[in-house]
Amino acid sequence: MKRDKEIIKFPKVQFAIFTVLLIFLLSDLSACGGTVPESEPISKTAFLLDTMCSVTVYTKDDARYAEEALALCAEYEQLLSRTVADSDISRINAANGRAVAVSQATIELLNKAVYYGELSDGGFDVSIGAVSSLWDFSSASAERSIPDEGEIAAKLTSVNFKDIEVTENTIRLTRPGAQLDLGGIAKGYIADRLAAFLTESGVKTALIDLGGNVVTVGEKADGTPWKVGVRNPFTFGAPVGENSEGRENAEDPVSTILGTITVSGTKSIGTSGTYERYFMQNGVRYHHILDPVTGFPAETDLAGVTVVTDLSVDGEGFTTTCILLGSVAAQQFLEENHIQAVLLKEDGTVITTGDIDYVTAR
Amino acid sequence: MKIKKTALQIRTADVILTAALFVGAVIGAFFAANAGVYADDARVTVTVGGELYGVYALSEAQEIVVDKTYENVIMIEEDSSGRMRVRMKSADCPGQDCVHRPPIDRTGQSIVCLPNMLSVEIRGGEGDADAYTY
Repeated sequence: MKRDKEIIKFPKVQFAIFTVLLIFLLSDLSACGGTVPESEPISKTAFLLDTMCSVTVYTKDDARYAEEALALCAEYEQLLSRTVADSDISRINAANGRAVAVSQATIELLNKAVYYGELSDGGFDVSIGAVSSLWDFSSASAERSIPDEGEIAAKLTSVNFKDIEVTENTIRLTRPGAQLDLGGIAKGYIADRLAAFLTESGVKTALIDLGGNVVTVGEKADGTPWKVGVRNPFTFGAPVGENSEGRENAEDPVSTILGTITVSGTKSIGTSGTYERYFMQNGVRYHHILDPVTGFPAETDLAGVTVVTDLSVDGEGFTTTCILLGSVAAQQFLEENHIQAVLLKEDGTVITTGDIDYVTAR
Repeated sequence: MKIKKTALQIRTADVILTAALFVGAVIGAFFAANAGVYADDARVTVTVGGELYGVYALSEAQEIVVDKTYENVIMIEEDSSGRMRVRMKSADCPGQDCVHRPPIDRTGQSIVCLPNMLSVEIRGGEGDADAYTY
């Protein structure tokens, strides 16, 4: 009978064993699927603000906001860079003491800059532009050298943040020859604006990294806190730039990170260091954090300062101020103001302040 | 034909379907397992001007030469403790900052050569941190 050929006798016991095996295999497949990590974070990067900037999001739907955030970053660069010809800052610098109408972003940032000038008693001074333009710490320059001392002294007379006049919509530099340089604070302000943009766009989780200036946005999807590593500039046992010889034969490699900071929610983790932008001359490291009193790189026993703040603009103000203060005064300043920080001294010693959640790397 | 009550009626097509499911499950499990292996492996991603230049396994020691506006020579190598790391061996860019950067060995770390608009980053694998400040 034809129909009989199509039907196979299958004992219930064998069928049950086969079914169990099949279910086991399928569940095994499902388990394997579970070990495959969820889709990787989506990072969008661009060379902006004279550094590499990235915005990372964690869902495909948010990818467009990461792109838009970088576009916003480029817009702020056009507004706040002193090297962009028609930026607000360039127009103020070229106004010869006249009041210049500027954007609200520039007003907001200048108010912050003046506040940090007062807080640091002039240690942090954005009117240092005429002096800082004498120095070249750019990685695109082959010939980086110490400017003429007489020229530095002459330009120093133009430096005083108290002579920056900020109104509701104008900025005026009343001191002759004064020039703005917002390099020590603009990145932080822009990072805050990008974080606000992402949050307002409905992005629940993101990471902003403007050249090592990190802002965590929201909570991670898995509920775990954010971990931000602090890079170790002494990876070969000495500051970078002073040990390029023999690096391949380093006998005792140390960790590439000093430690890890744990934070929750939207926070800024920013670092200023004397080893990021610098040049070497006659065995001396000339770094980019200038002392407004001398016009030379700040003499400090701190190699780096990392702070955790709610706003990145505050972080930049604090870190630069601390480098200028040196470790003893910086620690006192940070403790008095309950600021979470990691101070790295030139001798390799690490000091933490506030109730920072910091774990030293193994 | 009378079939015993202790057996089920299963057609040939049912057997073929079951066999297909079985084979599919095995093949699927194989690929899923391998996908897991690749996803866990840390890799070195090189971009130039924001465009992907190449992806290399961190586990494989090698020298990568990127010849664009400037030439960067990137080394993936083992340090003396046996840990794999990446460093900028040399570059003919003016400032040489990238060559003076410390090596990287953890997911999320990067070395940047600004004049060449080049970025070397470790991605994938198990990271110690979500980001790095410097």
